[in-house]
Amino acid sequence: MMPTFLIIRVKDKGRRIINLWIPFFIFWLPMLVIAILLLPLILIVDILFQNRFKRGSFTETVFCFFQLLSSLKGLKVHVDNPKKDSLVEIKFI
Amino acid sequence: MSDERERILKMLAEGKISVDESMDLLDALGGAPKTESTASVDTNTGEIFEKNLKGKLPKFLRVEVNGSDGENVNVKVPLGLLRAGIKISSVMPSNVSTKINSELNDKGFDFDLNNIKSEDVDTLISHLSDMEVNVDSKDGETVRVFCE
Repeated sequence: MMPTFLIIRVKDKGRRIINLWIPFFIFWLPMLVIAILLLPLILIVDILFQNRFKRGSFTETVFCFFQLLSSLKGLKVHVDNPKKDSLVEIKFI
Repeated sequence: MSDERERILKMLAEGKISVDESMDLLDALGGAPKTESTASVDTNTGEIFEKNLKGKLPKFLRVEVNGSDGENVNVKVPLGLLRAGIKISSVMPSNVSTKINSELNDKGFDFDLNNIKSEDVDTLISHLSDMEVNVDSKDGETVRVFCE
């Protein structure tokens, strides 16, 4: 499942510089709709260029891309220094 | 002495398994969580089969660093990214994968990306559950790398 939110927080000396909550889920539906609409075109490209894509079809590549996006869920990078009251945090939830 | 251990030693005494096999089984039983056994032996045939080694695949690679100056680093990487990366490598154009393989060979990594299968990745991930790296320095800095 794709991540729901991307959270980016940056704090320096107690001052909140960045506190972004990017809702990823608002991209899902449009991406799904576009993917469904483009699916016939992707299949046509696959059929027409099947000899060209020797390693993997165009459809497989698109699915791999979505799988990569889905596996980002849970990724977290958190660096903080309580003494300096600074924080950098990036996470996909 | 648990029943499993007794069975293993009995089979060793009867010659149905070798010393190395018995040690592997005892290690597996010794490190197993109390709620589930990870190895068992068929007393009739001496066949050793391992079950539930794959029971709980780790899902994240964690790196925790606590610096002496109070700085902390906490990184959590989903292991699913590894699988997705392997799949992407399988659909890369052949000229790109050839270039990557040659660069890896130049650095001393003598393996072919094309030969890595998703089953191999699952095996690798299942064994990563036992991996733990702990580093403690004199300055009080600690580094921990583990999978959960």
